Amino acid sequence: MSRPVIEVVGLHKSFGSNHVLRGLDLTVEKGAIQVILGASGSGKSVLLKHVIGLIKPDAGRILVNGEDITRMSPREIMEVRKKFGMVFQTSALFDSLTVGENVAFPLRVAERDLPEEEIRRIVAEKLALVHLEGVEDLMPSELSGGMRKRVALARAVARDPEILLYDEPTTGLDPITVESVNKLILETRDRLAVTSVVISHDIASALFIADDIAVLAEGRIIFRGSPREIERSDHPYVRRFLHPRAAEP
Amino acid sequence: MRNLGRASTRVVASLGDVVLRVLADLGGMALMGVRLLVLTIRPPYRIKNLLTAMEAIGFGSLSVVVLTALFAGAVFSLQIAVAFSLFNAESLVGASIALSLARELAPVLTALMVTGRAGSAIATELGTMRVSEQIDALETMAVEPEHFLLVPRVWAGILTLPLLTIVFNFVAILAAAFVAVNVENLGVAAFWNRIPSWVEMKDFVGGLLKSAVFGLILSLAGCYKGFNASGGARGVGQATTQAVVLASVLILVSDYLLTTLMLPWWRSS
Repeated sequence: MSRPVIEVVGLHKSFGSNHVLRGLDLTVEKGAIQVILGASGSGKSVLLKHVIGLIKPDAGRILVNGEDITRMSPREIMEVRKKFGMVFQTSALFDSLTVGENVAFPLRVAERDLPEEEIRRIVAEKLALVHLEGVEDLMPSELSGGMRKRVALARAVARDPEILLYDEPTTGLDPITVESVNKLILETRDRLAVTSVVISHDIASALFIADDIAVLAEGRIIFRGSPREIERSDHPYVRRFLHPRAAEP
Repeated sequence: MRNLGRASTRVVASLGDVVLRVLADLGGMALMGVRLLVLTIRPPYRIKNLLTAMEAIGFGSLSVVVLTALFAGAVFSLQIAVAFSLFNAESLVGASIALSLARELAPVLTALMVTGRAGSAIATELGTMRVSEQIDALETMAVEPEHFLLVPRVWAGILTLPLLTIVFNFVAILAAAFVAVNVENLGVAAFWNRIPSWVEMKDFVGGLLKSAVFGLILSLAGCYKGFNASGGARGVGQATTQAVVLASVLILVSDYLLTTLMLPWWRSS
């Protein structure tokens, strides 16, 4: 078996007196869609921000392709980030730029000698990948929530990353848009062969897209398994998370 | 009596609070300023971002600066002309106005107006980018947000304020001359004659140096408050208000300090 793309070992992080992550271990295999399920405030976003080096851990190691990013200088971390694409919960599109300029942004800042024609070709290609065509000149404020998510995905894959991080990709969307976003996550993985890490509290989506699900509670991964295994699990927390009503007394 | 004692304790405590907060902000701004200076020399140099920021601060504030200069010059002229006529010093009206404009009024009023217009805009824009995760997004794209967003804005403040101050000086002295001649019936020559002998280049240059410092203060305060905003729309609103108050206070305090420093130079012949 090949080495995991991401390895998190013994991760601890506190904010003031709030001990959010308490010795968390996690591995993500190459090409897999790894979903991290957890309740609000369980530290999912904090974990994701550690993986891309936005937050420094109090203790523990985070290895990306075998390299420990917790020991890197800010400049080295910048280099590692080029392997990542991230889709934010709020989409985080630059609202002063058009859709086309948003998707082109990572190309313009990272590969400054890329000719304008090539940038335009890549932008059109990535927008087509998320089933949006001819929207280059629209402003983000003119888009619906689902469309914004798609543009955010197109921007995240603009530089052909190895690893895609999704922060609650389906939160706040209607059921039909949720389904299309889920299909898009699968399609993107299949077409670009990327490793995907999805954090979510949306169980239905998790069961639909995941190759592997890790359940985060009390600062640790308390359960890991395939969608099928998690459905059959008799772990009390997992059961309560999956079937909140059935678990009520 | 006891109530009075309690009330005065509260007043002192809240005053102490304000002082502590301003000191903490000053420290934070100073650290950010040093970091931005280091980042300034690091490539890539984003000239386009600098020009865009200069356009937003400079061109965007031009109308409000011109309007302020027109009325500040006009009303100042009225007051000085009336006051100086009391002891037959009408011939010094033009020179006094020109001197106080060059050294004090133009840099300070320009900076306060630009703080209200552009300093607040910087804080709002950066604050919105912070709470909507756009700054995080920049970081994930391997772009240093301070380098990309803050360095150009702070330099734009430093470079643009002197230019706006020149405009203010020019417009205000013309407005003052217009009012002195047409409303106070002062002769055209009487207004302008003494200016060359009273106002030297160093008065004007000193004012511009001040305005560059004010430009640094207002853009840095906007960047500092906006970049560290948190807590949604309300947080952005608070950051904006705090940036304007902080910048205004610092501009007035530093004006006093700068004047104290520059007076020996201005007085020397």
